[in-house]
Order: sequence, then C-alpha cells, then structure tokens
Amino acid sequence: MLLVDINSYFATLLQQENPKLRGKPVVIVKDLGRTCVIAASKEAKKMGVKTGCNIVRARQLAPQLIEMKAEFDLYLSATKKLSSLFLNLAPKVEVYSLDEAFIDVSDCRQNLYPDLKKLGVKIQKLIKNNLGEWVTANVGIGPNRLLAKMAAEIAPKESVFEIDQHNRDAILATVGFEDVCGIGIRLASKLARMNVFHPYQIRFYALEDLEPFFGPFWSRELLKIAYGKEPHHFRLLNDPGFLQQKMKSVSRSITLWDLVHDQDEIRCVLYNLAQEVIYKVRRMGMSGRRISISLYGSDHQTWRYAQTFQCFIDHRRQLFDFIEKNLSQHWQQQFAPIKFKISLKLLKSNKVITPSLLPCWQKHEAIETAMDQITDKYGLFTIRSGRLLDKKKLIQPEVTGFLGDKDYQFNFR
Amino acid sequence: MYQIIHETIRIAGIFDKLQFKPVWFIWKNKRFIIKKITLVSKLKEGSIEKIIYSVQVGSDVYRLDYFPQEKEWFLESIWIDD
Repeated sequence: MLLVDINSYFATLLQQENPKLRGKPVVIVKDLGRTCVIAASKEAKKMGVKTGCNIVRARQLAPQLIEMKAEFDLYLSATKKLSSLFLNLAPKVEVYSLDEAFIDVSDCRQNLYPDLKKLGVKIQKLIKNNLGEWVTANVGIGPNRLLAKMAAEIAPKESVFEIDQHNRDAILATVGFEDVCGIGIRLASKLARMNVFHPYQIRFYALEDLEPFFGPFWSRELLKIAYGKEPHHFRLLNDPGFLQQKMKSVSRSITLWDLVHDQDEIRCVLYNLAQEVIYKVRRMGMSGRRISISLYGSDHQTWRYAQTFQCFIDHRRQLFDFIEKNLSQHWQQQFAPIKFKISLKLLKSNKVITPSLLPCWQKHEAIETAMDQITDKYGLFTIRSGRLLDKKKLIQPEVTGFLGDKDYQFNFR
Repeated sequence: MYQIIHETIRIAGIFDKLQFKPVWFIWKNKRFIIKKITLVSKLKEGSIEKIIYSVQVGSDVYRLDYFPQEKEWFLESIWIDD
C-alpha cells in the first residue's frame, strides 16, 4: 500500500502557478481578510507558521508573509488529474483528501512493481511532469493504510519512506500521536494523562484496563494501532458495501464576515445553503429523511433544530418550508448568528424508495426536474427560488480540503 | 494578487501530444509571447467547461481562460505585486 501526500498542497500549487511566489513564505486563507491560516508553504512552515494559526501570529513569525486566497477549483482540478494518473499505475486508488491518495498495489506488485521504493520515486517524477516542477510529494509505503500514511507523515519532505516488519515496532515506539491518523487531540491528551505518548506504549495495557477510559470501541481500536494494524476507519475502505453507501448525509455550512441581526437575512442564508444541499442530493439520485439546522454565534452560542420524517425529502420546497416553519416557531432570536449549517441526513438511493403517488408531489417533482436540467446545463443558481431573489451576493459552492463530498465531486459533477 | 481583466484575446498555439499549448496571444494590439505554461486547470460549472492556462510572459504571470464550447479565449487576470 502506498500513500501519496503532496507537500503543502494548497500553497505549493499556487507557487507552481506563479513562480514569483516560489521560495517565499505563503499562507492560504479561505478568503482575503479571513484570519485563520488553512495552509502554509514549505517556506512559511520553516518559519514556524502552522495550519490553523492566526494570521496575526503568522505575520509576526514571517514578516515577509504573502497571503493568498484559496483556489479550491484549481486544487480539485489537480486532484482529479492526480487520480487519473494513479489509476494508470494500479486499479485500486482511493483519493483520501484533496492532497492524499492511497494506491493499493497488492494485486499487481509481484509482476509490475517488485521494488516499491522505485515505484515511489516514479510517482514523484510523474507528479512533477504532470503538475509542474515545484510540486513535491511524500510517498509512504506500508503493509496497510495506517502504516503507509504514518510513513508519509514522518518522512522528510519529498522523500519515499517504507515501514516494514523490520522497522515497524521501532517507529511505533517513537512516533507521536500527531502523526497517527485517527487519533485526534482529545484522544491524544487522554492518553498523555496515562503517560502514553507513542502507539507502542498502548501495548502495555490490557483491553480491560483501557475500557474504563476509552470505552469498548476505542479501546480495541487503540490496541490495533499499537500493533500497527488497520483501524476501523481505514478498513471500511475495503468494504464494497460501505463504498456504495457511504454518502449518508449532505451538509453545507458557511461562516459569514459579520453577525447577522436581520431575521430575513438569516432565512435567506439558510435557503441559499439549502438549495446547494438539495441539488447535490438530487444529482446523486438520493433522498433524505432528517433535516437539521444549526446556527452559531460569536461567543460559542449554538442553536440547533432537527427533525426526522417518515417520508423522504428531495424537493427544494420541502427544505425551504422546513426552514420557514421552524425558524418562526423555534428560533427565539437569542443571539445574532455568524455561522450557518444545514444538513439532510439518513440518505437513501431513490432506486430503493417508492415515489409518492400524490398528484401534488408529482407536480412539484416535474418542477424540480426542470430546475435540475437547467442547473445541470448552466450551473447552480442560474435558476433559483423566488425566496432568494432579494439576496444580492449568493454563497457559491466550494470544495473542502478533506473532500467530504468526493463522491459528488468525482462521480456526479 | 490577481487583478481581473476579463477581456477577449486572440491566441496562437501548437498541438503537442494531442494537447493544445498556447504560444502567444494578442491583447490590446500587443503580442505577448508565452515563456512557460505553469499550470493547466480544468473546471466545470453545470455543463460549461473552462480551462485555465496559467502562463508566464517574461516574469509576469497571466491567467488565460478558454471556453471549449464557445471556443472563446479571455485574458482573465494578471498577477500584480502588492
């Protein structure tokens, strides 16, 4: 198993596009004026700037800092190019995020790639030839996804590194949890309270000792990681049933520039997000049964409302009516929101759902289908609900770094 | 930062290994010879496709947008040093 991880992807790709940015500390923010650094170039990282860092702190660390707006469409285009490149090498390729892909060569290794390190170097050259000379990648090699990803994380930049049976235990005994995929900050700090700082140390605990602290699921997962075995979230990628039915919900969220005090504007933002959610769901031939709305204030205030329905929902009108009704009934205007989120959950393929026979539903379905056809041809929001007519600047769709909607982006767009 | 221009241009190029590579373009009656194509990105909005050619002319960087269905070329933006 190989994991290809493009180094500092978002910044590197913009440096590839613009040679004037090369060799300079560059940070990527979602939009100019935003304060959270979502990616940093190799040069900025050397100066101590990290992903998630505040822009003010980043400017202190790197006075010559260049701030760039994220260009998600460019990143997605490059990721698609990489995906097809990798599919020419092996039949099983899993794009894990915008900048990472697993290449499973277990079926073709013996005849095609007896030396995996040479294959790693070949992949690095292919990336340079196709995306450009500035784009570098780490290639991690391991007997499974956990170790391949770990190898890519701990390898020096632009290198190929293999974890095999000879060095596995030594690496598990020295690697920090920040380089172990699946163990987040909370879990790592819980482990630190038990004086466990490396995966190998978990082996000193029996399952019964771990269960009171981590519960039955995570205790088993931690022990698997301790022995370098694939945890649940990676093993799911082998399950064809999971791959077919992995889209269980579609969500869209946005953090605006300012607090929104106007109730009509709050409604309008949610309609805007809902139109994108419902289009994606319909494009994938699915329907959902649970709608949830979340609003977040500037001071950790949160308001959530969710409802599960007996029937499936895949019409814009249904989602809009839900927003309209529940905002007026349940939203007490306790605070002015800045972040908005809407989700349609419990998704199922329309192939296994009996469509409604009610004439009014069928009439609306005809309207929705016509809207889909126009959107398919001319893009989202070319045709939009009358409820969005007053909205001057629409919130456009965007790709996220972890590529949560990769099924949609790769197969339905 | 990139400054938006969005003006139509005339362009000449070559086909190399089944791929079009722009060689020069004319904007405001001036010919710009492309030194290097630094990045090619394919985007899609609905059924409308767009190819962005990021190119270097001298030391300047330009984004050229090509719409294959309409066969139209635009000088979309120019990199301006802050």
